[in-house]
Amino acid sequence: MSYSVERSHERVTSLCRLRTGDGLFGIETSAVREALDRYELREIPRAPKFVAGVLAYRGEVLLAVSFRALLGIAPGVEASVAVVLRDTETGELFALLVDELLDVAAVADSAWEPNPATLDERSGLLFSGIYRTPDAPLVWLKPQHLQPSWLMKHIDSALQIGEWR
Amino acid sequence: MPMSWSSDREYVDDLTKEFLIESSEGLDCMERYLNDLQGGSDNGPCLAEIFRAVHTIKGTVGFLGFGRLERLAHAGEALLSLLRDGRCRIDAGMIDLLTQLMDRLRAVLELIETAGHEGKRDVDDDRELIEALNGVTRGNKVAAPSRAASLPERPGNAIETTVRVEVETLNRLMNLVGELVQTRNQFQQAEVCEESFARLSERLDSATANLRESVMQARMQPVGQLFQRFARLAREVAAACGKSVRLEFSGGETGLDKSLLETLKDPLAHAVRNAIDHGIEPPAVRFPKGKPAEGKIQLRAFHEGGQIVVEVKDDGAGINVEKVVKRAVERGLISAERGRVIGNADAMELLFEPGFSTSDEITMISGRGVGMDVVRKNVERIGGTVELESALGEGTTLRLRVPLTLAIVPALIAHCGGQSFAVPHSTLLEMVVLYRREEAERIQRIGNAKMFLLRDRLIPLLDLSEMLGIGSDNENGFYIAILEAKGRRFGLIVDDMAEPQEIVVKPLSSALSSLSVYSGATILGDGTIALILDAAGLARSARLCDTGEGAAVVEAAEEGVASAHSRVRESYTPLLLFVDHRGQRAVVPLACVERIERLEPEAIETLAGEGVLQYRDELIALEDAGGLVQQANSARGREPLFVLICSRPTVNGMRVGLVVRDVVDAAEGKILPPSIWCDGRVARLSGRLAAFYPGFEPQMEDPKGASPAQHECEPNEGLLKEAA
Repeated sequence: MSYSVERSHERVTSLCRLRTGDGLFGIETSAVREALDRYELREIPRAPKFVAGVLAYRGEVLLAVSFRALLGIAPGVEASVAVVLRDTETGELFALLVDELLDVAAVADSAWEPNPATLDERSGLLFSGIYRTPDAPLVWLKPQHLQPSWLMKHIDSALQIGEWR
Repeated sequence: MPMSWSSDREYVDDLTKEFLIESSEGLDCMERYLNDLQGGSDNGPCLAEIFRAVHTIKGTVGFLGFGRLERLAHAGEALLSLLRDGRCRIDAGMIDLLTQLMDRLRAVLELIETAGHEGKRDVDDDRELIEALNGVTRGNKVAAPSRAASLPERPGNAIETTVRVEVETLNRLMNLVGELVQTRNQFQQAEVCEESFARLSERLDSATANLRESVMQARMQPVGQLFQRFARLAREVAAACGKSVRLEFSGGETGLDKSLLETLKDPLAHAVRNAIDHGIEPPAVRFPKGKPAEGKIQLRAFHEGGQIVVEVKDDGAGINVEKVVKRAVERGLISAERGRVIGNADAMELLFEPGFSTSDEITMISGRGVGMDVVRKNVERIGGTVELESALGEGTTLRLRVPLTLAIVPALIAHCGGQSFAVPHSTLLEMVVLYRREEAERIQRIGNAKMFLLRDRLIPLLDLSEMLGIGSDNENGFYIAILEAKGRRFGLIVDDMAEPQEIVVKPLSSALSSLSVYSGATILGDGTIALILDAAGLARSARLCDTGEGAAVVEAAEEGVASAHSRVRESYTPLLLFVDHRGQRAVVPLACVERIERLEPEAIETLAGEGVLQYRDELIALEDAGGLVQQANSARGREPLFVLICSRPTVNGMRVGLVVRDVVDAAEGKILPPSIWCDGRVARLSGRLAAFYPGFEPQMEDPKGASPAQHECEPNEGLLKEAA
């Protein structure tokens, strides 16, 4: 199912814009099930480093992935927003913790460019290209590359940030 | 250009999904009746049911546009029509052909479910099978197409994630939900005074309990559903092994939670394969033993003590414990020394070790050592236990005990390092509170291991805060939860315990499946999350589950069971306490000690590279594992050495000189039952523990009641005074 829409004869994609650290990122709006700004996080001792903990969501216990940990930046002091997504491999819901959820923006598909060749390995695994926007470059995040099942397989071995606490 | 991403794999519409579920059920029914036919049941009713299943598929696929399924079902239906009407007699070849038809129909259904289509629209794939079916219909002999020699593996399909619920049950659920809504409205609208609050709370409690009960009932499925799947597995495995096996079922109507039923599928399949491959003997072996040529495997399910018990019992050769131990020693799972003294119960435990197999050759069915450990792991994951009983020559019984449901379990909430953890009652034996002032007396260390004295039994102790790397807050005292997993008892130190409660079990993300210390999570009344501790995972993580001295022996000793194997001597015995070469407290029975020598290093001579001592015109070999003689020689001033001249009871009382660091005391000590984690035996002297020096451990009690040490060593009357 494609969520891209035709507008003025140009294909555009609706992205949820979010911020973590200094970076501006976008996730396809259709992939976001809900965003929670109030939640209680429960740490999981001995879990991989990218796991911030678990949180209660509509009677389920969701794994919370720290986007800061994935980016390799220190934990923030402010409360973060939990973006609820679905792990397409396991069918389980999970939460991606980001610093701030900004808005929803429609970006032209023609404004997309692949990751720069100079991008570091860690970011190369997480980012799926960049959209040129009037404000600032918007890094496109594919939910598949943020889901726990994928992270366990790739990030863990490639970057060692999946190492156990 | 970036590709668009779709969150859901919606390949099939609702109508097709319904068709898939119905067809799968029809094929399950077909499989059951094919098994009955194979077992020699009355042909008429069986063939009518099989015909109905295939006919229904054929009737539905037409308007859904699944041509491939239609062609297959049509060919099958034509043959089944002849068989049903008695115009053709069924034989083994036809049953095989119909089984192939069933497999092919299943494969196409699976393809539709996963890919949304039937595969290649080319009839070539099915031509051979359809021609064989048509040929038989025309009166030709059965020429079943060849098929790959593989064990049947049922793919996960829509039916495995679906439960059929009676409308009446749904109505009951709806009524209960209505009652909940009403109660909520009354809470919101009425002015809640103390009296009405109590009444409303009571009503809420009743509605919640009824709702829970009804939902649990709706999830219950008969175990027989699962049993039926093994009939064909057994037949094909038996054929592959060249054995003849009959599978018998009982208690199939016993209800079990749907999710538990699915989890039991693989363990039971392993058990059935094992029973046929390792248990049941070939007919040529069975016959001389007076057993019928056909082996028997019984699958039973029944309720017992609030649990469901599922048994797989065979009348095969039983487990040869000696062979198990020999193989375990060969594979380095246990030492040769341990192999010589290991008890039957512990030897059976070896079968559950990962990678263990007694099979001499690796076959397609077994012998790869992936079996029993998987069985135990899967069953423990759902809060169950596995027991194995075997009698050589008579057969083996594998017994799986599983809870009725996973959804809601009673648990105690523990606190540690400011975090909450749930300890399910199923693994919790008792709780002990320990104040700091009692710690030194009841918790002792040997090496870096902590242990706890509970009613004169040694219990290994784990500290949750240390294991999880979290802090602790237990300045004044702490709790010890006595847990049991895999038949092993251990204590878990936590900061505090809250009241017991019924918790709703929520699974943790599958990405954390390797974190075996947790079995799930639960949302507590205050909205916070508690992780559910997995006793078996904790024990594994702390490596308590290595097959050590028999926990069964310990258990029996505590319970006072009078069996020759389990009776251990627990009376006070005079012991000599010393500091061994590692600097640890050790003891030997005083009766074995002939003399304590304090020698200058020069008195020790070397013969063939070994230290020896001249003692009463006799050469005595010295045991100096820590190289203390060499250390004493190199030390400034040449320090004197302590040598204990002892008669070693295990080597016909042969004299040996033990070189030790220091002699501490000679006193009466209590010999404790075998420890489940410590290689040797341990005694308690003046409230502290000390390990027996290797080779001087007390033996199991002689039936006549005398200590073996007393048998073999001449007590030295003057030693107590001398040592003092």
